[in-house]
Amino acid sequence: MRRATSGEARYSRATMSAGKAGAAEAESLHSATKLSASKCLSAKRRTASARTPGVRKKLELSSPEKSSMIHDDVLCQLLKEDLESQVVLAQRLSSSPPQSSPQTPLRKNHGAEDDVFCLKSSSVFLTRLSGTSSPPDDSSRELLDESPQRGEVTEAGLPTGSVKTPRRRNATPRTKKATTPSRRKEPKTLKEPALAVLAEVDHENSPMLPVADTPRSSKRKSAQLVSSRIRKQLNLLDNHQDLNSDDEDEFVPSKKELQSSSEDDDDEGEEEAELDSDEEVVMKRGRHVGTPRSKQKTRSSTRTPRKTPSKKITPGTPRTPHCATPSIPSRSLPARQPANVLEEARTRLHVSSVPESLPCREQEFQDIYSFVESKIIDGTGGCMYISGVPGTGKTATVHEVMRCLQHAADVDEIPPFHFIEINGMKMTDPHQAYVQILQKLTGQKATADHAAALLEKRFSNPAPRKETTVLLVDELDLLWTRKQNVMYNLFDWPTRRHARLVVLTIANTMDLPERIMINRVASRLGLTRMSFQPYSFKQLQQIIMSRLNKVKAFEEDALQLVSRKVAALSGDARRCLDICRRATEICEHSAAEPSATGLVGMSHVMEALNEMFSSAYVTAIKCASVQEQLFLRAVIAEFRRIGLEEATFQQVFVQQQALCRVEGLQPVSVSEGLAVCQRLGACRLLLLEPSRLGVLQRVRLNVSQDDVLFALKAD
Amino acid sequence: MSKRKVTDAHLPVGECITQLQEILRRRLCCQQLPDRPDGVEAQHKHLLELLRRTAVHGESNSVLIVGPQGSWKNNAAEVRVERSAGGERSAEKPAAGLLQTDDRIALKEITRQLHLENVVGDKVFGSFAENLAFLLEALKKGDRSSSRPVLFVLDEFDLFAHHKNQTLLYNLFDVSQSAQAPIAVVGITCRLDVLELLEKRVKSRFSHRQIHLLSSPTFPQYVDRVRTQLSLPDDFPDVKFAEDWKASVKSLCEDKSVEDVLKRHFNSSRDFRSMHMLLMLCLSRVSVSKPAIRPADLLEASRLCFTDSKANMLHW
Repeated sequence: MRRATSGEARYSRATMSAGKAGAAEAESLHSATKLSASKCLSAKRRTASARTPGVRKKLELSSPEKSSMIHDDVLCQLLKEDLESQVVLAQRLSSSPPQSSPQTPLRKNHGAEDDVFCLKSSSVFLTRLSGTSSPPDDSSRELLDESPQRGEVTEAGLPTGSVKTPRRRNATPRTKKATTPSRRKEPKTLKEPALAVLAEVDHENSPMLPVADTPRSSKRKSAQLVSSRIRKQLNLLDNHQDLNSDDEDEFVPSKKELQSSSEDDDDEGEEEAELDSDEEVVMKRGRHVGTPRSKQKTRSSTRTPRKTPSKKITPGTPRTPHCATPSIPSRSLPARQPANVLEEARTRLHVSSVPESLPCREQEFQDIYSFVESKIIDGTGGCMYISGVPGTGKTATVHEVMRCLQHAADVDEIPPFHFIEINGMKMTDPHQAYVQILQKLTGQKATADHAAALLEKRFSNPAPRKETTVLLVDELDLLWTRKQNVMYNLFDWPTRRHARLVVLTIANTMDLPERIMINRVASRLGLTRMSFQPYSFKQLQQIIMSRLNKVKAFEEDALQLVSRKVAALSGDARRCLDICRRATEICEHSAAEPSATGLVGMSHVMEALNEMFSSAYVTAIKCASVQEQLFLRAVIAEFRRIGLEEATFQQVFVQQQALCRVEGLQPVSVSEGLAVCQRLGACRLLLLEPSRLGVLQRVRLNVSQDDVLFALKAD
Repeated sequence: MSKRKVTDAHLPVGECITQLQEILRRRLCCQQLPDRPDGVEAQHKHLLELLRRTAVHGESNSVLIVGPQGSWKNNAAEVRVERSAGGERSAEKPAAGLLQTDDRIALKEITRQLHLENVVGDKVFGSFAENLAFLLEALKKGDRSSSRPVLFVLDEFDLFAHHKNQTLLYNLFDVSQSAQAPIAVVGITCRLDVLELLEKRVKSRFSHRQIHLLSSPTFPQYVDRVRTQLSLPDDFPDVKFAEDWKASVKSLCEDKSVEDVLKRHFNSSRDFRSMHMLLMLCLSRVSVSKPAIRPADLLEASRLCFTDSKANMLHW
């Protein structure tokens, strides 16, 4: 029976294709044709499976649901073909006025409206699902009834109103559809101009729209509230000033959509009697017709992976995050640009400046790239462990790989993928990892346990057309817990058949898996390891050169000195860059006049190196007061006397009194001696026990005796 | 007030003394900085330049100010902030390690000082995790050219290093080393070995700039300092009293016994705090009947300063 009705609907739809198509349809085609036939099919398949959890949760009758889905699929496909055939028509007919034949446009619009609703409802479909299981016949019946009712509508004298409103809606969801799959801002901005024109056309053609709009908007307070919020958020999101007018166009429909969807939910149980005007009848019908469609068109909803029901989707609350992210207030004056060569060099040498390329990490780059790329292409999962001391470019290399892969995905060389990054240091508790992953993946907020469960479900359930997720876990060692369940899960998910998850982990120590992981975790991590060696002096030199990029600010020898020194100590590129930056400052200060600064030479670099690597202990001792110096000498004398590296304050104090007499100074009191001792302890020249022990507290030197003697002898 | 202006040079002695006490007490108790930095000009210039670059160019920096107690590290930082901020008023966030005993409290304080809590309206911060994510998000959103530089002053920096995982330090330094909102992190500590407290990842992200406020004034400089601290400002209403006071301070500093006392203090400690303590005790002895500090006052004050508190208790 249902199949029969759907067949009917199909036919009515087919006839529709003969009608004239609006510009909006043309646009929709544009986006529809972009998807290849196979893509469409797989998308449908995926949506069907992706939806199941939600469906099951809401309603028990799964078999009718499925059957309806199938015929909906057919419907959708038909519509698609239908639309495809319309492209030509649309192009041909776009110039002619839409009112030329009142009957067909209406149908057309209804078709379009369905489409709209499907697309739109992808965002709210979960709330609708409760209604959709029974409505199929309902909707199809309405489809059959369409023509007579439409005839009435036209006779009612509201042709433009009813016709155009859906049209305008048509424009917005198309954008949504176009943008959601790629999930990036750029495509949207690219798409918008084309769309803008269409929206404009619609706007001109529908003068009645405001009239049709007002009764709806004034009807429900909650709906108004929601729509205003949505508006606000759209406003926030939109940063294209030049497209303002088009945005206006967008907002209205979205608002209406939301209203109708929210009402839809409520109305499902209520009487239809609530409807009082003809346009509303039309809209209502449109909605009902749209509902079954929404199920198949959820392609976008699987892309925006919101497959589990959450409270946020309920009509009362907008599903975008409710608080806009705060930001630091903007500055009043513009930041000054670097004026001379040294300042330019300093800007380039700052660690934060993103270099054009990462020299000296080509091999590692290639390895990671091919690893991730192969996993993405195969649609499988895997783990990789990257280790290396700080400042060897681990995170930078992975980011670079991701940039390249993202670029490749943009030009369709590889399938699209998600990239998510978490950092063990940037969370307060290992279990927060789940929360952050879930939030970055789906935008949902949940508690750690709930998030873990949701992720578990996501990665273990098969879902066709699921994109590969690339997860970067920085500072892995901080995700260690006693039971190691966080690490276990992170490494276990990629091994699931349907997970399509690639995990890249970064930590400092090479033997981390052996050292802190229990066997089952370590074995899941696998043996794909990579170790970043500390930079050699040649590499460091090359890094600086590439950063400077022909800005001549350093002497060759000076650069070599810095890189040799750093390579010998740590091989930390950050340190190297910091030293160079400091050297430019010293050079700038040492020059007599700021305009006539020369190159950064050996002396400047030496000074910077000394500043960074020399310990301040000796200077601190030299700058200490006489009594403090005496106390240090007394400590050494006492150590020598008792042959231990530790003495009580009392013993040292006796020595100090003796030294005072030798030096011809007035002997100090115990209180004063303790104060001196505390001051030295605060600087950590001495290590002290808590001062509540008074004269019995034990004293140790925190510097070598030789250093102390050297410092004291020098003056 | 008007009367004073008419009889400018002839203020009653009592009022002069009151004013003198007020001026000098404010200077000695509130730890006002001398007009120019003594003995640490180079360090001062370094810090000033660094903060100026953050403010003007939007360059992120991190620096540690290390110096013994009583070397006015704090004041140094504060004054420098004021001067550097000249063109671009940067937001400052002092956070003291003794008050913010863990990252959670520190984060709340930072959020409060950044006035970010207003942005989210009535939303009360739930968890520490949320708080951290919130702040990081806020900092990440900014960029070099558009957002206002933020200055984080971490007093008692060594105590922040004892927080769990050093999360706060890691994140602050990480922001300062990545292309996010321009920030300057200034850590203030008296521990010379503070870098050894930092974890290797945190250490790598720190720029390794340390400014050591170590100055060794000679004794004449110390006496000079005493004189400057006791001197009256030029705009003191009663000119005659000011001149008398100046002469009395001069004679005080030249006195032999006073020199001995100052020498002893100098040997014991060279910082401003102990000197202020001594001068404060002297100052409180100044009255209408004896409108100057006499050597005897200084001796008495010195005796009080050096008295052995525990022995005193036993004597009673």
